[in-house]
Amino acid sequence: MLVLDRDSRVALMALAACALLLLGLIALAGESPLRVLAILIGDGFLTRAGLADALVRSIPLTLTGLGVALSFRAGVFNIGVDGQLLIGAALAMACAPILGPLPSALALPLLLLAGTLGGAIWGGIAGILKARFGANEIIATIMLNYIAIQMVSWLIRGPLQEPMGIFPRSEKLTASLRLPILFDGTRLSAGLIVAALACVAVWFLVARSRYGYALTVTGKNADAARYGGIQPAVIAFSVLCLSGALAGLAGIVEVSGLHGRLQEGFAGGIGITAIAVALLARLSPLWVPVAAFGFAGLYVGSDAIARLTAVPFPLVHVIEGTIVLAFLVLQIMPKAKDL
Amino acid sequence: MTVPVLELTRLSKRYGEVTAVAGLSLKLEPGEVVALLGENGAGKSTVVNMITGMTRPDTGQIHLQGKEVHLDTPRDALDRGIGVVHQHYALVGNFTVAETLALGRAGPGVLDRKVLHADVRRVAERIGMQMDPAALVGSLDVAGQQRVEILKALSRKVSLLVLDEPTAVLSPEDAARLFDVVRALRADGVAILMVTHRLADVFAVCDRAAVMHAGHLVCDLPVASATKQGLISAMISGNTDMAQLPGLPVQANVLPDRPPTPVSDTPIRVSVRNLKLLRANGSQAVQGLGFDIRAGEIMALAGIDGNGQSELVQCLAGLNLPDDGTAEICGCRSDGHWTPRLLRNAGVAHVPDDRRRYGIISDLSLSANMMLSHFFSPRYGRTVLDRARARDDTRRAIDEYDIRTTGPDQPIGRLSGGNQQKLVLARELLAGPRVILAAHPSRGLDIRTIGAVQDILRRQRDAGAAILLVSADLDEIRALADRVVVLAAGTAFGPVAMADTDMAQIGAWMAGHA
Repeated sequence: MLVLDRDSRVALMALAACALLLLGLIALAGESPLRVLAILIGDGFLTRAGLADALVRSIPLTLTGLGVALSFRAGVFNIGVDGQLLIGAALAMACAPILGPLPSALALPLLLLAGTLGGAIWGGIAGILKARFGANEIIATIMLNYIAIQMVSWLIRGPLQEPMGIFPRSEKLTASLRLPILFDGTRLSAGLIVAALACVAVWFLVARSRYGYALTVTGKNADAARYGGIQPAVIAFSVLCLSGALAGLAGIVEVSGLHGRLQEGFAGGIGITAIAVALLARLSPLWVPVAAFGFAGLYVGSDAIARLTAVPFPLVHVIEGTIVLAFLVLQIMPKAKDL
Repeated sequence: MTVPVLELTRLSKRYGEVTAVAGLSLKLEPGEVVALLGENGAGKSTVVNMITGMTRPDTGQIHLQGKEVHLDTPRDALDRGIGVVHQHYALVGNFTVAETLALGRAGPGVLDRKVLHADVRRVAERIGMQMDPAALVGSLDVAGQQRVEILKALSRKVSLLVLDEPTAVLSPEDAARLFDVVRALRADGVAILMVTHRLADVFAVCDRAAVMHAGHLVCDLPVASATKQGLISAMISGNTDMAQLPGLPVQANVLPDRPPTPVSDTPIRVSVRNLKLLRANGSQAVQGLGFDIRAGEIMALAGIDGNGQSELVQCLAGLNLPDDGTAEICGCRSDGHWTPRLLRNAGVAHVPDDRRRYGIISDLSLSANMMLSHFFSPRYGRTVLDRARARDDTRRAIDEYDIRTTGPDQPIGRLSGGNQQKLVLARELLAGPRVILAAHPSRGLDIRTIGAVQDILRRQRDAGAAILLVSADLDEIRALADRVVVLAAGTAFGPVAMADTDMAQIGAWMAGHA
């Protein structure tokens, strides 16, 4: 028989209470909870359009989720994914006019590289603050988010604004700098391949390389890392650069593969979701895409609920939150049994 | 006739095969200060734990104020008026002194700080102690924190106060101030049991000295009729013949025959000059320390725990820089580049004293832990880790050191302390080190493994390694060391060749008595 400790029982009860409350709220809104669930799963994961859309959304979540997983493994809490993503996209867009004339096979990788570099620089600033001056990386990365948002705001009203000068947005990327669409009739771009490659690369880094070992040791026991000759400050700096690089890559992939131009709020909320993705994947690079896809499908399904049912939009967020919570609780359960 | 505050009758406690305390009887009268002396492992801590309700005796009785009591939890002991100041303080740095004293006693609702502060001042003044109730505990030095612990104990009604190694971390001036407090408490009629290693404490403030050796109480006599040499001899050998006869010189212990090791011509591997080290809290751990260790030599660093051994080993391992003076190992100098990575590459192995903190990563597998010390050597690859080789090395270590485990992939946290220690040893000795910093290498191991570890260290020495052996165990020092340095109370005695000294001298040094 399954024996649960006290914490697990409390968590399960809280979860059950949440679910009941949710059902009640949906019923109050005049909808059948079953229908809502059917739409959530059906439109999120089971139709061609829904599936493609979920994959589109899972690309930036995977890339940023990988970055968060890397930094969290080292015990460094990068909350600045949003800022790193924006700066990555902005730097790449600033390079776009130079890269435009080049052949696509050369220009596109350089564009992605510029985005990666931009994110790495933004992460690296937080890294220097932490490694050199002992600043708390959580505060530093959050503050850098605000700076990045305002900087991009200014850029698309100034130097990077489209020549028409009407809307606060950049010019559209030329076709040679756009990631090709993989399947006709969808918005799914070759960014999916970039994300898949990033998964493999990060997995290799974490599971096979010496650097990945140093990351894990530092995250689990910084004193033992020092004892072994690893410098936690160097690890903190480098992992913030790497984490930022992946976020920057996500930013330019999002622009080049989906939106085509830089505009305000084009990737809002990705940073926070990336943390949830990484935690749900237990910081394992191979589970990050799975968790990202789950979240993406949830978003697509929620959109459908908002569109097709009488459930008010705020309630959609409540449903999302409850499902994520449920997953986290279920994840804790087997761990609690071990103890 | 007064009723004794505390009376222990034939207390015994066994842990598995080991008898920690055997038939101990001890009496404390009101207003009496009794020193409980003994080497590490003599059973003092077990006695303290039984008095304070941390462990229950197997047999024997405890009487408080003439009534038999069963102390099942620390709470029971507290409620019956037994206060204790542990060697390691349990304080909240962000709390003020007054808040600390309110912790666990204040009821729900708003704290009345005025009343609290007045309470603290009243208790402090009663024993002639200076204490600002509004000071943050974290801002106090060790001596100040100890005073807070004493106040904490006294803020309840206590008839017995247990002080566990109270002077181990104090400067002489702070120790003198502590003794004033002890005298004030004695005048108040509080009985005090002071667990200590230092003879100076005994003669400064105690009325009686009780000496434990290997679980037995070997002598219990008024301090006025005790001698330093006698107490030392009782602590080391359990021999009480001379404890009460003043003036007799202590016979030199006969050292086991050992082949004299001709090391005077081998190269110097470790060199320490005029070294000064501070503890994390700013107090002085070591000063003016100087010694050399040559290849093919074991230098013992003797002393009671907490006298700067950890700081010295961490400094030599590259984890800390000296606060003054220099250290030099295999051509690396502490005034130049001095990092764990550099020293490990130069061939330094380090068996840390705090294994759980530095030596292992509990969540990771045995083979992942195996790689920790060889991270910067090419042994397991430069970029890509050679995990197969780490697993092979681990498997060999499991066989060779008889590590009880399900295999190289088991998380090391699941192993017993002794088995963890064996893996740490196997890892450190894996690559044929030139210098071995071994802090308590046999701590937590069973007798058989201790012998094996000592054999391994001897073989490493014969193969030409320079070894610094940190130990508080005189038997181990006698069995292994070629020369010895003793750290006590911030000063260093020696180094001296083992052939030119005896256990009594080393024991006296360890007790801070030149």
